[in-house]
Amino acid sequence: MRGFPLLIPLLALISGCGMSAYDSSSQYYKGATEHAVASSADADEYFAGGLERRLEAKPAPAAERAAPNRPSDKAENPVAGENAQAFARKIVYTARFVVDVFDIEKSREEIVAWTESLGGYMHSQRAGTVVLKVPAEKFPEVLTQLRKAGRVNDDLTDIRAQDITQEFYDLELRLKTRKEYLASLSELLKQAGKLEEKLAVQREVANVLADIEQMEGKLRVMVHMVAFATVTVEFRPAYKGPTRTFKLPWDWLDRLGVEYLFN
Amino acid sequence: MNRFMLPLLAAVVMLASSCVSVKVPDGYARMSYTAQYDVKAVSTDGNIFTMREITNQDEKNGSLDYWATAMKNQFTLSRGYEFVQDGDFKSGKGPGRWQHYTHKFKGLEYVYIVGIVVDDDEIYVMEAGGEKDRFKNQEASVRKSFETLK
Repeated sequence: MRGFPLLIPLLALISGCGMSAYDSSSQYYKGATEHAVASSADADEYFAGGLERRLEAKPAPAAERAAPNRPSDKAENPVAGENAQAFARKIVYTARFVVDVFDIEKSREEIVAWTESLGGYMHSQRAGTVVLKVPAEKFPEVLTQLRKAGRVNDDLTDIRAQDITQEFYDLELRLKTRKEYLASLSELLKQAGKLEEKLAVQREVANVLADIEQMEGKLRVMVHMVAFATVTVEFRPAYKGPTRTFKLPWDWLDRLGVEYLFN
Repeated sequence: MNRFMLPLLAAVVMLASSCVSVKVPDGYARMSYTAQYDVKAVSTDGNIFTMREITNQDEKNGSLDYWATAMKNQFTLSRGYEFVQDGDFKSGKGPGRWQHYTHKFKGLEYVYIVGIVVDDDEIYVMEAGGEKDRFKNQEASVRKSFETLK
């Protein structure tokens, strides 16, 4: 019973820390879109309560969850039908564009303002290059917006979609397993009699808590990566003159200039 | 002998009247190989000065204002040159107009000065240019050379 004073704060820690992690996450993900989370749950629900509900549901095997519409060899397919909506694909979009503009600073300010108006933000900026985090559902509009700013070099455009569905749901499942284990450890701690037993359980609890925090952190990052597309825009100065559509019919005029002096 | 003297004399007079000369700016040396130019000279830091006559038939139909404006439009609207300033000058062949441009060529900023003189029969075009840093303070000297056209 000498260990009893230790037990109270420990139990408080076990019961409180999980919720606080969810609360801080829900604040962080305010504005995250449906695209980023399963079914119709928004980010707040996902981390404040939705996750708990979803983790209680019987999960499908990882392969099923990654491709819910694919026929399975297994006799049972409990999830693909009823929870297919809950296991939406998790796609991370990244893109790089090179745009020729007449006013780099103005163009950069305008694209940042446009991104912020959609709920995104500027991630970083260096010289004429800006990295934006654009809400994923607005990603298809980025190219349209950049074409308004200047000439997009299509041969330098790079758009990628990375499917992290399997990794995401595997991590969720591992997190659920660890939380269940944590719950069983707390029960064990209540039943532990000897001090050595209690200390051993407490050590294990600390390890499991560390695992859970790490996994939750990784999951937060993945949710964010899916919620916001990373768009890198490099603005370059456009050729100020018009294209050579103006030409007088006097050939000698075209043979003047530094190009001929220094040829 | 007299039958050949007159045509010969006429030919000499004609040749003499179509001769044109210009004094190159100080610090420039003439080149013997002039390519498409009638006069070509180069300075010790790589700047170039040239002069050439344009002798096509159509050129007789335009005035100094016409050709100066045509030249400016061609440079600025078609070739991407940045117009800086222009002015008038007097030469032995008549009044002329000079124009000052800057232009990016092979990644470097160049200064380009062109002078044009139009008389009844010909157009004379004098050009000078060089990298911006190396052409510094040479504009006045180049414009002075334009005035020596005769």
